[in-house]
Amino acid sequence: MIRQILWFVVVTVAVEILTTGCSERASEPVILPDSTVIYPAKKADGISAKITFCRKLSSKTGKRIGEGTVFTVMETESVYVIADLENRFLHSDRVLMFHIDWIDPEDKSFYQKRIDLIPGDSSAALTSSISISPDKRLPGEYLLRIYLFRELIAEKKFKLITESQAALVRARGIQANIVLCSKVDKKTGKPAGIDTVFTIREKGKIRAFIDLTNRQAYGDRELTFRLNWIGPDGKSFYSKQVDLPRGDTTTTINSSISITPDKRQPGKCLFQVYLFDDLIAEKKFELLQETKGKASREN
Amino acid sequence: MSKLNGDKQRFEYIDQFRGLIVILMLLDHCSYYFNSIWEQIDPLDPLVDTWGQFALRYVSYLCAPGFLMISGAMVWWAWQKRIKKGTPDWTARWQLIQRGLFLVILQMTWVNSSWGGFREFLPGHIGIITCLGISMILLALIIKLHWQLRLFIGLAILVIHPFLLKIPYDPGVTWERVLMQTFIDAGEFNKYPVLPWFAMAVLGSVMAIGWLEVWKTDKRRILFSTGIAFGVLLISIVVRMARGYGNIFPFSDFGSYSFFFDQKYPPSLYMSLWFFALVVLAICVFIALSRVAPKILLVFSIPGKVPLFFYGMHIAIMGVFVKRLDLFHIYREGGVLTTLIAFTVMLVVMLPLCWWFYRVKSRSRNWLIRMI
Repeated sequence: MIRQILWFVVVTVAVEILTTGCSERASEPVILPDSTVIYPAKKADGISAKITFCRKLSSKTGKRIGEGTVFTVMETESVYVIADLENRFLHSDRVLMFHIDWIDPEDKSFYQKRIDLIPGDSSAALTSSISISPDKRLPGEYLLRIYLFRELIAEKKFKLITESQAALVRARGIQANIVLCSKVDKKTGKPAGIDTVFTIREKGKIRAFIDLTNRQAYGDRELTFRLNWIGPDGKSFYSKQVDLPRGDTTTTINSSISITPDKRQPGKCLFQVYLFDDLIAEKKFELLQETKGKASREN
Repeated sequence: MSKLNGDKQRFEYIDQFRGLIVILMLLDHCSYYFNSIWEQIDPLDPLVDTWGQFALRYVSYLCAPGFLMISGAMVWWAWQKRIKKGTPDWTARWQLIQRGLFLVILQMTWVNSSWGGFREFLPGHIGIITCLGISMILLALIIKLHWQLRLFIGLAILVIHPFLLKIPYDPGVTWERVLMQTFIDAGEFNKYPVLPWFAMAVLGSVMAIGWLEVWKTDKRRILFSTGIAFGVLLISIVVRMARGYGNIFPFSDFGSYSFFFDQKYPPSLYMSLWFFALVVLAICVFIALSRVAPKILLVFSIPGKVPLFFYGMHIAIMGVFVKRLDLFHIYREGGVLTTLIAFTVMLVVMLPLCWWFYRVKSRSRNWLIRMI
């Protein structure tokens, strides 16, 4: 009898020990093309996370600005992380406990944020941010980890560099050659009527073509350009954002403005190309008042 | 049951279980000193990246409930043994209160400083040893109560504690922090609030009546204990699966990491019930094993006879050599394997030390040595 009881107790405790710590994640990670390391769920409907870093999140649209994995340590700057959750709505009937863990180059966790998604919460992404001002962060390789119910589900590295390192990157970075024109050849799609002086007129337009060289300087990082048109009063009258996603091989981007008399004033203007927040190219141009006869360039 | 020097009655399975507890504690503390995960882990909200790290952390969760329950059991045993010998009631209680006070002082002097290798004197916070001491003092005050009343008190505290955790306080205000974290909540001042752990000691004192007095044979001890353990285990699972009252952290599914990893600092009702059951089951295992394979339990018996010495010494050794002197520069540089190697080495160091101290203690009449 005592032996039977003994075996019963031993087997029970063994079962307890074995069931303790049933991991819900595969031990072999999968690396996504964007370098997010995923620990896949054992169940097909398990939640997974794709990690994206950016410099800003638009407060109005939630759009991610300045995506990448390399950021410059600067006053008042931050790094945001967005973890897009897959299969999250298959589990919207219960509380989901996530942790976002920021780890410094010394492998020390310096900020941990717990996010509980309660039933009915419509969030499909988690966000967190850290300041990257020089008094708070040192340059180096950082790691961000996402945990679901205390189990690691995804991680991704990002790098903080100093301003001097950033300048070096910029120096050997993307170059932009701006061409302004009034027409586009309908057959070839190439600029026609290239100039820097344009006459304001009905149905008039200026088109800017920007040829990008050395795009690979930023690797496979998503590139965010801002094309800025500045009027004679020094104020921007039109700005356009162009995002080139990873894997995109585009080498030319463009923007155009209308130069009808009701919209533009004559004077000296400027066209600027920003990559993230850095001005990488600009070109001056002039708008002339429309004359009754032929437009004159001598004004 | 065995006797030493003709006057000290020992329960081998209690010693062996205490030995298991301090050995698991050694494993956890080796992890604290050698495992790099401690650069990242927040004990109040732990995250684990591998099964090994989970197991390393989780096995130590048995330690505090085990310590408190056995302490409670021994308080009851020591008190009633003295009463039977004719010691006046309050004299018997005062001896237990003295030991409780000794533990409080020990924490604030030796234990707190030993973590950093005695680099600084750090009396400004308390921990598990203080919790044991205060629980011992409180238990001494109610030890004369009938076991049903003590059982009611223990269960009532566990049931009420989740509501007490809702009391708002500002950890920035010293008196609020000290008061709340001494008795109810966990934080930087104290991770082991007295109330829930005192309840475990009270339950231990109730179980002691069965283990040490009423259940006369091992068979009866095992039968009744497993019955109680499985009943409580079932209740704890019901509390957890209800996902509401008695839980602190949410979990995903039954059997997952998060199912087991509810809050330990302070323990949720689910954790208290779960580990009460596991402690009782573990005691059953030791009762049974001591009948069929007593020799293999020697490794537990030795440290289990001098658990306080084991606790105080192993932290001090690692505190001095690993943290303060940083010998071999291995402080928090390793992982699970390094932790296991360090654990083996420390066990080899600690077992002879414990055996030596046990011999010294059993011969000594010195008050301090007998307290340790």
